Amino acid sequence: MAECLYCGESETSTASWRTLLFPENSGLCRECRSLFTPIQEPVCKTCNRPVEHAGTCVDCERWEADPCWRGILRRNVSLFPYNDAMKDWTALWKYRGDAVLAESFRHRIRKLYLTYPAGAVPVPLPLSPQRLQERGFNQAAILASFTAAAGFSLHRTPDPSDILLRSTHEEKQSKKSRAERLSSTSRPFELKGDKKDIEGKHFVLFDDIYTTGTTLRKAALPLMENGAADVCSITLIRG
Amino acid sequence: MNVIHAVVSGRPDPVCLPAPWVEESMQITAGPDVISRLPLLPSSSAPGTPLPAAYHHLQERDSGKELLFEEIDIHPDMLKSLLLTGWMQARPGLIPFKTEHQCRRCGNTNRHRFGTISCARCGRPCVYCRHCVQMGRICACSILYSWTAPPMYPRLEEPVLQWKGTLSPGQQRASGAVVQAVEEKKEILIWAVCGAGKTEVLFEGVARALELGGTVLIAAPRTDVVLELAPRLQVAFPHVALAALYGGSEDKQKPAQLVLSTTHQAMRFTEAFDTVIIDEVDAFPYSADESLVYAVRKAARPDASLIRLTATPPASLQRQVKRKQLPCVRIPRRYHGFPLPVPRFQWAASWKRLLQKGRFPAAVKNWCRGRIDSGTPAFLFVPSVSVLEQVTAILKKEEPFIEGVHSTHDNRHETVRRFREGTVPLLVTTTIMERGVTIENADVAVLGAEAAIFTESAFVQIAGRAGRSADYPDGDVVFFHAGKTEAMAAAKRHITSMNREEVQR
Repeated sequence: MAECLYCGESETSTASWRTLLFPENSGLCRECRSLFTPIQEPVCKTCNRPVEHAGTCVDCERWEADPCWRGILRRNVSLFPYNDAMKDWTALWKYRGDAVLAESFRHRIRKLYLTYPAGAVPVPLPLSPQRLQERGFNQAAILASFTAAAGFSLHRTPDPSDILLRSTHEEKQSKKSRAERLSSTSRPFELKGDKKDIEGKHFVLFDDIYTTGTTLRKAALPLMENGAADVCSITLIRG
Repeated sequence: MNVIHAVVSGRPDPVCLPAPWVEESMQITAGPDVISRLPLLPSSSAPGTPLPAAYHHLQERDSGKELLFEEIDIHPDMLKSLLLTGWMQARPGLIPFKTEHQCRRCGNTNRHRFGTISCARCGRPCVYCRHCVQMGRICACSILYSWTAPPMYPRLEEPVLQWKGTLSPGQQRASGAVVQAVEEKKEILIWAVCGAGKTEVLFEGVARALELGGTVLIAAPRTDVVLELAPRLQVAFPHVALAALYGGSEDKQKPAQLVLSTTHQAMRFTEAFDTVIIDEVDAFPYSADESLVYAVRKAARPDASLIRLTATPPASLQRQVKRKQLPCVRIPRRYHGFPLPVPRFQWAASWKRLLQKGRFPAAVKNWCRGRIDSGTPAFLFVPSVSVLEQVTAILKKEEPFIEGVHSTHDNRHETVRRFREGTVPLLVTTTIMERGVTIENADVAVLGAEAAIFTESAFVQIAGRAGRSADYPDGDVVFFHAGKTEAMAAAKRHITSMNREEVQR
């Protein structure tokens, strides 16, 4: 009998075929499991936003109509909608800093990553050095580390400082309005590694949330400019 | 960030300092290393010299608390000189415990309630306490800063206590015992029936403690209770700096000699109070969560007086009283002198099935109808949130002004306020409302009294909601049940035996 990772109440349901075969949301009690329901179809095929009719949403059409941003981010997939339960969970995970909570979604993240072409490089979005000190950990790096097989790791845990660098310290995205986010022309990310490590490769960016898609596109930009084959993204939440 | 222990000029014992602040003149005795891996230095004593006046407000604001760097809001340069002079000290957030860790803030030692992160601050995998992470993460490299001496509180304007009421004979006796416990720095249990007027019993003791220049903590189990007590205390002690602490409170940085806090918020204090009063010792979550017991113990100075108040002492305390290990004063009568309303039991089987069909047991329905028609405010207690929602939905069809409240309800305090005003005629509630809410003239019913959540003490508290005022000393208390439980019988015995007890002179 273990404690639920989220609410701390004891988890009374014992191991069953179901939990063995479907370990999604593992470590959670029944009630907490039911809080987190994955995004349901139909969704926008580019950004994964839930929409009424499958296809491309208005925002993505706008991104693709802009010559600066066309094709920068091929596709985003997110696991959960940003509902009240997810807001509470994120507050505890990211802002209060209970970092191990993300373990519940390890399996889902890994499964999703495995649908990408073999060899796609997982790249967590880096934080600025200042924010990293403040928070003590990079939440995107935790998600990206789930791409390695559990138990033994053939790959080293991806190090966010290896490929991308976030040099400028901006105000938190979550404190800005949509217009502010979209209009900002800053380039917060730059390439840290060698250009030849980028050329011709597939990349999967990891972040906690896709809200307007600006941050992810800005992170994809230096990769695409340096010859990446394509850049996709996986986020835990679709805001 | 690593720390070192170093001998600095002017201090007899080594001090603990963040490694970047080391100077060449210092003789390093331990480190640099992660703070939780270095030996725990004994609590430092304050320097003999007076503290410069410019620092007084900081000392008054933070004294008694152990705070993370993110929480203290002191300029690093200032912090450094306070550490070097010995006015403040740096201590670890986590300490080794057996083969694992203990969190010094919440006392957690359960290894399932620790997590590991790859820590950007110390550059290593770092263990952190998940149990109190809501208050800001404490990991193995976290430093807790605290003042080494309390501020000098100015002499209070006399009389400290400005309360003009009179105490009942029972209250008078208990009040005298509290004053004595404060003066002699002893423990005492005040066992008083619901509605005995426990708060007033504290006044003289609190006044005495403050007059002696001491600090006082009153720890209450829940925010609701803190919110109700704070204004009453401020009226009684108008010249005293009082802070009311609860999650989201605005008083967190307010300097205060008298602190009223939820047991949870008491966690930030270490050896801070000369007098600690625990209201409703038996109440959830205080009795359910060991760390809250730890927190209140830790907040008290080693020689502090400890005063516990309850209507329903847990078995462990009752045992101590019986063995004469714990002095106890009982107040078996309410302040108005009338006996407690005795609960009656009424059969209401298959209520669950009826609820599912959107209906209500006739007996319960008639009871509710009766209260609403006669304008008597009424509590209807139910065993769970899901039942609460069903019941509220059904009753709202009858009477749209009926409301339901439970612990995760957003505007719970607002709803309770409207119930007090009388615009909500009947309040459906989970056990959240079992304590501390006083509404004159109220009747009380429990639906599904056979549920395990209703313990003897819960029933005694619930029954204690009725007949609170001298004008309406009676009140109807009815437990609708689908099978009488031992807890129901025990609660009834408890109440009748209290009523039988002679008021001691």
